[in-house]
Amino acid sequence: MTPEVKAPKRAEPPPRVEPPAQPADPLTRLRTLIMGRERDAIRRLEQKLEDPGALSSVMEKALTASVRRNPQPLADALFPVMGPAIRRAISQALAGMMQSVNQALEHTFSLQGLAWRWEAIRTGTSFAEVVLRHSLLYRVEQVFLVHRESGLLLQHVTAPSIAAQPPDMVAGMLTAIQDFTRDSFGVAQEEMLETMKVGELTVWVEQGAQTLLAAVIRGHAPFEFRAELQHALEAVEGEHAAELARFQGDASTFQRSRPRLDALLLMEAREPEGRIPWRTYGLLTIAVLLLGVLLVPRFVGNRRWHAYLDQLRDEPGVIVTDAGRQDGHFVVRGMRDPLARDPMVLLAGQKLAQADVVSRWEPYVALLPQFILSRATRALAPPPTIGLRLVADTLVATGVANEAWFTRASTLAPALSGVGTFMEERLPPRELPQLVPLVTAVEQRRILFPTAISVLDSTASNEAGAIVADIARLDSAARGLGLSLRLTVIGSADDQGNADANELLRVHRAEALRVRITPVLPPGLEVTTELAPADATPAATEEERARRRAALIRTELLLAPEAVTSP
Amino acid sequence: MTAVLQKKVCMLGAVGVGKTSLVRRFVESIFSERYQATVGVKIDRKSLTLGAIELNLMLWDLQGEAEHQETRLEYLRGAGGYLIVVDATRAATLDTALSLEQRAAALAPNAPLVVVINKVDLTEQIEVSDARLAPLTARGSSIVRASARSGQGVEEAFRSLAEKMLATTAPAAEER
Repeated sequence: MTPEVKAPKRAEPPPRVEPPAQPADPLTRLRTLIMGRERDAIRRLEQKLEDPGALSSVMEKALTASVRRNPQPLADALFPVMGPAIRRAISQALAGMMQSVNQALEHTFSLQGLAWRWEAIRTGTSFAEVVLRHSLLYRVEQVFLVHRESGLLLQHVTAPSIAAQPPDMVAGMLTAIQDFTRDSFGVAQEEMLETMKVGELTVWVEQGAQTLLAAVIRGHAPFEFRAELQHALEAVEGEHAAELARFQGDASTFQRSRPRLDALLLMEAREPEGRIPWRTYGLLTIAVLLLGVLLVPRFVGNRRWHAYLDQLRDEPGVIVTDAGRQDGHFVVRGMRDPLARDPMVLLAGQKLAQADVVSRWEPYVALLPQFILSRATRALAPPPTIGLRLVADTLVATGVANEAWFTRASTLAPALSGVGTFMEERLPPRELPQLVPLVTAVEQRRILFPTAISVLDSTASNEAGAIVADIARLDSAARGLGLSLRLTVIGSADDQGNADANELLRVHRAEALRVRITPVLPPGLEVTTELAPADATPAATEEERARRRAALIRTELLLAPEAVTSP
Repeated sequence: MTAVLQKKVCMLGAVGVGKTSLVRRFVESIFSERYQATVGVKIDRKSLTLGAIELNLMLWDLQGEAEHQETRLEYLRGAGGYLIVVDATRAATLDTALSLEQRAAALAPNAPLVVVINKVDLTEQIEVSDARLAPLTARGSSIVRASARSGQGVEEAFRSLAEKMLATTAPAAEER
């Protein structure tokens, strides 16, 4: 470097010697005469050396030339300083990025996260920024500027209303802890304890050449704050370079750094709770209402459609094979027995518009018992006196019909789908279940007579009226079934007295009842009289005898002649 | 207007010589019989007024030196001065003090030193003789006999060191 440093000296014109004031001392005068030029040159060089600004251009040129020739020596000289600094800067940048990524991920799916995403879109900032802005709430409570070597406090600032420990002792401890960790874990001198964390408090430490800057933070400060600490530290060290170089315990000159440190007492507070973002709520409400208006009918329609499908699936004789939405319509496809209920009737029950539903039904034969019976009833046309039922695959016909119907039924029935065999259970007409109670009602009535009397008294006459009413009911039912009714009046007497007289009493009693009822019976009824046979055994009691002094009705039901010819 | 100066002062010595007790007596005027070993370092502060100067002494009470644990003298960095404490009742602590003095002088050649002979109230058990103290004073450090229990010599020891430190600082202070 020597030649470069000397270069400007050579370039300078020979300095002019100022005529010195005439010194009295001849030796001094001689010295001035002989050495004047050189002394002047030396003085000017000294002045130059004392002024760093004057040397800077020379230094710049020297450095440029040196780097151009071989950059390695300079790189080697700077590496111990630059290496750790670069390493730290990179790791901090990465940590800052991780912090924002973590925060962003954490808040991506929450309700608040969605609100923040909306805010990011609205304000045109990145989502990560919005997350950081909202979630990193912190307050820098204290900042310490500490002399690195001695641990003495140079300056200390606190946020308002913060109760702090004696800061000079804290400053001492901060450096002691640095020394302690370095010694304990054998790390290099330039490494340092950058972060200390106790509960909600975090202490961030930045280390400069001569000083430490420590910030006590409550909450979570963004990583950018570390960069601010670094800048502040660099600025303070630059401004106080001279004082730091000769520091011997007098911190008063560092008062000047206060504004810079005060600027680090940052605070990030959450938006006050009172400020409710009504506009956001309003927009959300409108959005919800709009969604409701759009979605509710669709939702209701879907519910009705699914209810309808469920009903169709439960409906005998209907099989749903496919259902869905197509071109804004509900579409259902499947199979339907012609005897099943009409799906359109079910549709009406679900309040679905017929126009919205497209149905495609393929006919099929359902082998469910009720469908087999329906088909049998259609094919065999049984008279009302016949009941059909299915036992396994046997069709059973119970009741009264003419021979022709039974013949036809036994031929046709096995040909029907679902019917294996045909079985008939013929009944006497009076045993038809629907007629049995009516027959019993008529036949259990007795018109009672006193001994040796065959004239109806008022009680007997009333009873005869009741019999007529029962007969009318039975007749009506029988006609409904295609049957005709025949009546026989039977006279009866007890076993006391003369047998001939009793015979006569039987005749008269039967006749008396016949005469009493014939005029009031339904027209067209055939009534005959008959005598009860004389009882073989004598009546054991007077009650039994009284019961025998009576007239009563026997009924007979016949298949009507027209039913015989019916198909 | 008084000028305020801060100085870092380290307490060195063997284990149990009474470094912490001296600091407590000096700072809080308290003495406790209970012994608690110092781990690492404890820091205290005491203000002294010397003439027109208010001096804040930051007292670094270092862990005592024992056979298996050397005091970490890295803590001496930046110290304005230091005290080496000797237990008057244990001659062995004088050897430790000598060893510490040599190592400390190498690390902080310009920092003034005051040697404190502690526990002098235990007159009957005193083992450290004046003759043996000679090597300690070779580099010009002064010796103060003190007792943390009675308070004797404690203020004097710290004040003496403070004055020495101010004397070395004076040129720089004037320069300002």
